[in-house]
Amino acid sequence: MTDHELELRLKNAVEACTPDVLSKVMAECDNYQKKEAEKKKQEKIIDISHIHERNRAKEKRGWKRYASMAAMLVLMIGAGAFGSMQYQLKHVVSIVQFDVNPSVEIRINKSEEVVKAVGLNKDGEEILSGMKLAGLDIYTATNAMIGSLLKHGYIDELANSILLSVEDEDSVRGLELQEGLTGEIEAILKSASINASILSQHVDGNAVDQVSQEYGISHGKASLIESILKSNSNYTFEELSKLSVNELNLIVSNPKNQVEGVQATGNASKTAYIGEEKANQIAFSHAGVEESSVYQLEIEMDYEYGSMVYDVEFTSGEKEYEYYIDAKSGEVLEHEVESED
Amino acid sequence: MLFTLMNTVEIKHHPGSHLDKLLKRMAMGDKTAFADFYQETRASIYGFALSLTKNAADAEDILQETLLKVWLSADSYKAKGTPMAWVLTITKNLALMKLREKKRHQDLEPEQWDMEFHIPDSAGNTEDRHLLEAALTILTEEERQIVLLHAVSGLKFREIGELTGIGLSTVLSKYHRSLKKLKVYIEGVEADDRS
Repeated sequence: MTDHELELRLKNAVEACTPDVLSKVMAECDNYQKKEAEKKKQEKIIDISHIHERNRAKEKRGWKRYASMAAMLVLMIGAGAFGSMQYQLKHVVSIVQFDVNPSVEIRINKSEEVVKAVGLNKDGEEILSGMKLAGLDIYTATNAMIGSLLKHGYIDELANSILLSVEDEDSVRGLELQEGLTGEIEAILKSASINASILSQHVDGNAVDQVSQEYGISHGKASLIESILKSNSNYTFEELSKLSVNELNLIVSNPKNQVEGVQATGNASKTAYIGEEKANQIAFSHAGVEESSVYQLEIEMDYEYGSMVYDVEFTSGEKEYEYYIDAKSGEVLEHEVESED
Repeated sequence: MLFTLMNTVEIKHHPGSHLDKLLKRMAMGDKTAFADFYQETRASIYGFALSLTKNAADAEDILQETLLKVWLSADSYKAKGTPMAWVLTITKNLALMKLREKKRHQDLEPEQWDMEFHIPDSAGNTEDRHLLEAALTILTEEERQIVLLHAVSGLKFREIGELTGIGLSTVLSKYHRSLKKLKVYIEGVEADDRS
C-alpha cells in the first residue's frame, strides 16, 4: 500500500465518523447573537467617557491626555478620516497584564498594537526601562518583555510561573488574546529551555479595582486571589496577597481547590521546597511508622499556617494520619491521628 | 481496498483563497457561507481534535466550540497564513483547555481516556475505521497529530510544524515512522485474516 492510499483511508474514516453538528452550532450562534444584541442595547457607551472610565485612579494623571485627545478629535472633525484614524490608534480596547513578580500592564488598540505599557510595581518599571513598546504588535511586545524578564532573572527553575490576565469587554476577543499570548509565551520559554507554567484568566477590572488598590497588587493578581477564595474560603485575601505568583499557582494546582475561570499550562516550580519524598519521610518518621506499612498515601501542596506546606495523608496499621509540613523548612506544623473504625 | 479507493473522489485540499472568501462573507453574517465553510473544515477540525484528545465526545465538543468561535470572530480574522491553519490553531487551544480542565477535575489517566474513545460502528468502511482506531492507539500524540493533519486537513509539513511547534525535520521523520507503524499494523491484520 502506498503512503497516499493509507492517508486516503484515514481521511475517509475521519470524514465518515465526524458528527454532524451544523444545526447545533447555528442554534448556538443565534443564541449568542441575541444575547449580544441585548447587551449592546443596554450599554451604549460613548467611547471617550468609556476610556475615561476604564482608567484607574492611580493613573489619574493620564486623563489629561485623553481630554486633550478628545479636544483634538473635536478640532479634527473637519479632517474626519485622519481624526478617526488617530482615535483608532489610541483607543484602548484590551488590557493585558503580566505578573511574575514584576507586574506589567500593556494596553492595546483594536489592531492589537501597544498604546501604552506601564510597570505596576518597581520591578515592572525596571523590566520596561529602555524598551519602546508603543506601536508594536502585542505579540512582538510580549516577546520583548518575556525576553527582558528572562534577562533580569525573574523566570527560572525556582519560580517559573507567569500570570497572564486580559481585560476586554469583548469576551471572545479577550479569550482569543488570552490563548494566543499563552501560546506565544510558551513558545518563547520553550526555546529558552524553561519549563514555565502559565496561568491565564479573563479579568473584570472594575470588579477588583478597589481591592487591588487596597493591597497594592495588580488587577490580575487580585482577580486570581478572588477566584481561589471562591473555591476555598479557608484562606484570606490578605494572606494570599503576600504570596508570589508561583505560590498562588501551587495553590491553584492543588486538586482540592477547584479554582474556576483560570487556565493553567505546565507545572508550578517546586524546586524551592524540600520535595514530596522528603516531606513523606518526615511524616513517617514523626509518626513512627515504617514506609512499607503505609498505604493510601496522598500528598499535596497547600497554604496553611502562614506558609506553603505539604499536606500528607496516609494510613498505617489501624490509624489515619494527616501532617502539615512546612514546605521550606520541613518542620511539622500540625498533625492529626485518627483510629479507623 | 479497491472498494475504498473507487468510492473516494479526491478533493484538492481547500485552497486558502476559497476559505478566505467564505470567511469574508461570514464576517458579514452570511450563514450560507458558514454552512459551506463547515462542510469543508469539519473533518479537519474533528480529526485534529480527535488526535489531541483521543476521545470522540470531547472531539465533538471541540468541533462545535471551534465553529462557534470561527463564526463569531470571522470579522477579526487577519490573513496570517492560511485560514485552515487559523481554524486549527483555535481547535488546538480549545483542546488544550479541555485537557487541562479534565486533568484538574478528574485526574484521568490517559489509559482511561482510551476506553472512552470509540467510533460508532455504522460510520463508513469497517477496515478504514479500524485503521483510524489503530492510528489513535498505536501512534504517539505527536505522531497522531502529524499524520491526521497531513492526511485529513491536507496541511503542508511546514504548516504542521508551525501549528504543533515541532521542528520540520522532526515532523518529517515522525510522519514517515508513523506510516511505517501503520503499514506494519495493516500487514499484521491481513496476515491474521489469511490464517
